[in-house]
Amino acid sequence: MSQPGEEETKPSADQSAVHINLKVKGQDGNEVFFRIKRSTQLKKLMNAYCERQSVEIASIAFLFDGRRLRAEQTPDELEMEDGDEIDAMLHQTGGAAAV
Amino acid sequence: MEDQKSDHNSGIFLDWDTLLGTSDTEEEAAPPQIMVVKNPTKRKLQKMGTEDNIQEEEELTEELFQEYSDNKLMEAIERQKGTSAFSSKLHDGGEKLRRRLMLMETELERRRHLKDNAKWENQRKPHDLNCSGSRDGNQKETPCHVKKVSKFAASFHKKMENPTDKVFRNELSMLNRCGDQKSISSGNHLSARRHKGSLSSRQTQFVSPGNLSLHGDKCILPKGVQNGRLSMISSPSSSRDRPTTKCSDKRSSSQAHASNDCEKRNRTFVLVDLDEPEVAEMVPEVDQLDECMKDTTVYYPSRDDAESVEICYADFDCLGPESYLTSTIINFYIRYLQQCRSSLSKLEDNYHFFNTYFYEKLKETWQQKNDNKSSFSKIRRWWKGVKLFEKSYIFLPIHDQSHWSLIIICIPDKNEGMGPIILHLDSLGIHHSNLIFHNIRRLLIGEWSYMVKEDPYPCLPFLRSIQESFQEKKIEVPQQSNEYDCGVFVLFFIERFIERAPKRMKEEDLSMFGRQWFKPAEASRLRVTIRKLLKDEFKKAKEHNCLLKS
Repeated sequence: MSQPGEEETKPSADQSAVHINLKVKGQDGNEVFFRIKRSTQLKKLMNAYCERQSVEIASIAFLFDGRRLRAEQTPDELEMEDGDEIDAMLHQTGGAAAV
Repeated sequence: MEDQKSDHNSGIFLDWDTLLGTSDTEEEAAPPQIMVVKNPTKRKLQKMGTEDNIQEEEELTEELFQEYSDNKLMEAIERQKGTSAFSSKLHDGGEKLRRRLMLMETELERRRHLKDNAKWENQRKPHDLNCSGSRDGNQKETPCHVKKVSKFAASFHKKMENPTDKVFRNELSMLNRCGDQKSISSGNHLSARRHKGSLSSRQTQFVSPGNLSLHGDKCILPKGVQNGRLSMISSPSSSRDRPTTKCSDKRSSSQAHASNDCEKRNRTFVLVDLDEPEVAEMVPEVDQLDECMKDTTVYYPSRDDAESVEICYADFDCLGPESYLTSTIINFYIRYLQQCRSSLSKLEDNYHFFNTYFYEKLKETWQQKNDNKSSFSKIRRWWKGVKLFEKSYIFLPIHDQSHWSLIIICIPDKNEGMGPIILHLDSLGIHHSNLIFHNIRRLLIGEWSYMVKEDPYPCLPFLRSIQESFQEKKIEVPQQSNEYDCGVFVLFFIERFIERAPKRMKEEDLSMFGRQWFKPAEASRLRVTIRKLLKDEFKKAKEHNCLLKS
C-alpha cells in the first residue's frame, strides 16, 4: 500500500520542481497567473499574455527585476522562483508633451 | 431685405450695439442687417458670376497680406514657432498661437498656388474692397464701403476677439460647414477663406506626416517652404475645435494642407521652394538600413549580458527626422554610454543608471495603497546588489505624457556633510518637478531606512538624518526648439554630464549647467550619431548571424 502513496506524492514533488507559477502584472494593476515548465521559453508566456490582453507583443516590454526578458529565456536560466512577478510595461515614446 | 438707408448723406447710422447685442427683439427679429454704399466697380465684379465670388475671396485675403513680403512672412513664422514651446503654458494652452500659425501657413500655401497657377494669376485684380461686413445669404452679394462700415468692423472685430461672446459662432460654424459661404473679414484682422481653411483642419484629427498622403492629394513639400509660410493675420479667439494632440508645427502645417478642402480637389502639385534656406541641421539625411536586416535583432552589448538591450528593425524608425524616441533607443544609448566609459573604469563604480521603465514602476509602487513595505522590497530587486548610496550619481530617465526628462541624483562626498542633491533636467520644462522630486525622495528615504535596518551603523555618506538633508533643484538647461527632440536631449544631458562631472558633486559644481550649457543643435545632432551607431550594430549582428549559419 505504501507504493501508491509514494507514487502520489512523487509527481507533485516533481511538478513543483518542473513547473513554476509566475505572475504577470500589467500597468493597470491587472494580474494574470501562469504556470509553465521551468525549461519552457518565456516566449510562450508572453504570447499567451498578449493574446489574453489583446495587445501587440511588440508594444510591450516584459521585465523581471527591472531587466527586460528575451523571448527565448527560460525561468531556469533566470533563476526564477515560484510566485515571482513579471512586469508587463508598455514601451514608452516621447518628444514633447501631448496636451 | 437690404436696409436702404444709404440716401443719407451723412452715411449710415446703425446702432451697432443694439444690432450685435444679444437682444434680438428688433422689429422683425431678423439678424442685423447692414447697408452699404453702392460700389460700381464692385458691382461689375459681382455680375461675373459665382466663380468670381471665389475669386473675390482670393483677392481679399491677398490684399490683407500684400504688405508682407515672403521673407517677412517666413521670419514671422519662425518667430511664431519659437514661441510654440511655451504655448502649453499659456492659459488657453497656446490655442490662439497655433491658430494664428495655421492661418499664416495656409496663406503662404495659397500664395504658392497662385504662383503655380497661371490662371489664378491672370484673374488677380486689385480692388478696393478691404473690408466687408457680416453677411448672411441675402447680403452676400453686397459689397461694403470701408468708411461706412468701419464702425461695424471695429465692433465686429471686438465681438470676434471676445471668446465668451457667442454671437457669431453659429454663423462661423455654418460658413465653415458649407464651403460656398465664405464671408467675414474685418479690417486687416480676418480672412474668411483662411479662416475656413484653418478651421477645417482643426476639425480633422492630426495625423503624423507619414499619413499625409491619405488625404487625397499628393503634396510634395520642400521643407523650406513649410518653414517659410506665414502671414500676419490674427484669428478670432473664439475657437471651438481644439486639436486632440499637440503636434509639431510642421505637422500641423502639413495637416492644414491636407485638409483644406479647397485644395483637395484631385490636384497633384509639386511645391517648389521659395527663397528660404533649409534648416538642414535638424534633419540630415542618413541612409536607410538595408532591407536584408529586417529580421536581424541586435542584443546590446551582447546576448549574454544580463541587462542587454534588444533592438529590432522597427526600433530604428524612431531615429528618423522628427520622430519621437522610444524607450528601447534610450535604453540602448544609456547602455552604450555605460559600455564605452566603463573602459575608463570610473563609470562602472560611481554611476548607476536606471532604465526608462523604472520611474513608471516607482510611481506604481507609491500608488499602491496597502503594504508599502512589501512593494518596496519588490522594487528593490530592480537594483539588486547595487548600493545606491555609494554611487556618485544615479540617473533616471523620466517618461510622462509623451515627454522625456531626466533626474540625476548626486550623492556628495561624506565629508561634505551634505545630503543627496536631486537635479531635474527638462528640455521643455513640462514635467512637474515637485511631483517627481517627491517620488524620488521617497525612494531614497525608503532605501535609506532599509539600509539602516540591515546595518545599524552604515558606512553612508550623510552625517545628518537623510530627511532633512535633501536638496532638490530644477536645473536650467538648454531648451529644445522643436517638439520632438526631448528624448535626444535627455541622452545628451547624460552624455555631457558624464564628460564634465566631478568625482563627487559639490555645491559650486552646479554652475556647470544653465541655458548656455550647450547649443540645442548639438543635442539634436545626437539623433544622427545614434542612428549611425545602431546601424553599425546591425551590421555586426548580421555578420555574426552569417558566421553562425556557415
